Amino acid sequence: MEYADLDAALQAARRGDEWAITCIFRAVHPKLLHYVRRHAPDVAEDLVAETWLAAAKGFATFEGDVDELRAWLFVIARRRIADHYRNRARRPRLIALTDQAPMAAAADDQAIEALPTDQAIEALVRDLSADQAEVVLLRVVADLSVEQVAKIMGRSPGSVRVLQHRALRHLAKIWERGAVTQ
Amino acid sequence: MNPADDEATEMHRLPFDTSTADRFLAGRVVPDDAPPGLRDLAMLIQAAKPPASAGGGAVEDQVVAAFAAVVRTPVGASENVYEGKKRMLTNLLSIKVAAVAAAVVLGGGSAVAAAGSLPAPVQSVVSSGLTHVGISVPNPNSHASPHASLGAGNANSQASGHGNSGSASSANAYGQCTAWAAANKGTSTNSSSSNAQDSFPQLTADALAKGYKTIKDFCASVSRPSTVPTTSGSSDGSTGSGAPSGTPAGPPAGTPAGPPAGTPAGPPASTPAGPPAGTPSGSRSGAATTR
Repeated sequence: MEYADLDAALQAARRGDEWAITCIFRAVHPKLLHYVRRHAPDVAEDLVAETWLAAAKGFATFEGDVDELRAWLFVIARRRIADHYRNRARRPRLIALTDQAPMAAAADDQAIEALPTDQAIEALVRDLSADQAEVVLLRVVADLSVEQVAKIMGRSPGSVRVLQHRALRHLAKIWERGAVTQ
Repeated sequence: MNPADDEATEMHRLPFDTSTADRFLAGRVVPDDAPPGLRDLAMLIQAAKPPASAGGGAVEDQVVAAFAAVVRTPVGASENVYEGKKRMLTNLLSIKVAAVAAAVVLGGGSAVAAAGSLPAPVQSVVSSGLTHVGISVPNPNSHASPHASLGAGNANSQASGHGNSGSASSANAYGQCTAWAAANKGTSTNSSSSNAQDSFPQLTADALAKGYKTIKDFCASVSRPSTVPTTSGSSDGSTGSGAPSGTPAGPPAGTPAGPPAGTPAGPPASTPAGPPAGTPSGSRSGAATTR
């Protein structure tokens, strides 16, 4: 069974076939949830559910493939997050989900492998600038391409590449084995 | 400083090239093959990749049902359905305590639920939810066995169902296999594969129950369920797009026979597509907002 089968599922989902919608939901929902949870943990489930319903509403006229559907869902999710904070008249923020994510110096292979996804995400982006963190979230968590991220963030692909390289360089410095000592 | 002009300079400062950087962020660099000193980072990125959902749960059922209902509804009537389903989902999500309880159960407190000693409403929801993943715990609304059990209860029926949408185990197995395949997309070996495999305990159990040594072998034997014919008259033509070529099991009877809709064209203009338009003033750029 190939990933391309999700494209087949997408065609069936257009007819409202629940098995097909389930396939797509299971492939994309965790990415959406982890991404939204990073920005709005207290209402993440609500916002993601609203995202799916908003997508359902416009699904009849959607003509892309699964990759484009995923990018589109993240566009909707970002809008829902922005709306959420706008309604609350609060500034959106990157929220530290936990203090338990390991510091690079203390982490070993097993500790990293055993990290829950949320904590791994936290460890990955917490020391990055907001722009770098957003690029990393969309590239790593959402699994979007540079071009898709650029479109979503309203930047050029070159700008996104610079941001991701700065992020990687920063992360490399932190996580380079032996580079950090207690 | 012009970021675009600075791009080439940035690349040279890194210990790997652009292609490797892309593969790094995509989680496709096997830690053992990572550039010197970057094994931990490769592992961390792979750990930060959310695995596909193993499926099951009230939220999935409700979201999928709501999504299907909205999609099947003729365009003119979709607003009422949308609002109704939105309210229903809001009510459902207000019982998040159930999810927390389920996490407690799965995380080591199974004895509590297994003994049926959670508060009745929570016990009921947890029982219902865990049934979807093959775990049986007492339901105060039923007379089920009081003993928790793990099993592949639906493994025997998964390849023979007829795609009764939403509840058929064949659809469940197919959906899990598709999700598993997606989770393993592009990963060549060990870490992420085992990570993804660990996320599909029911699939693993089903595979073993069927005598397969790997999920891959098991999934190869799972055929795509026949689709459920949509409600007659619900397709207004704008949603009927026909079966894609190469579909394993072919389209269901009565499916509009046209080709898949056009070439990929991105999000529709009439939907919430496109970059978020507004940014709350003073927000941190890039953090859930647009600029």
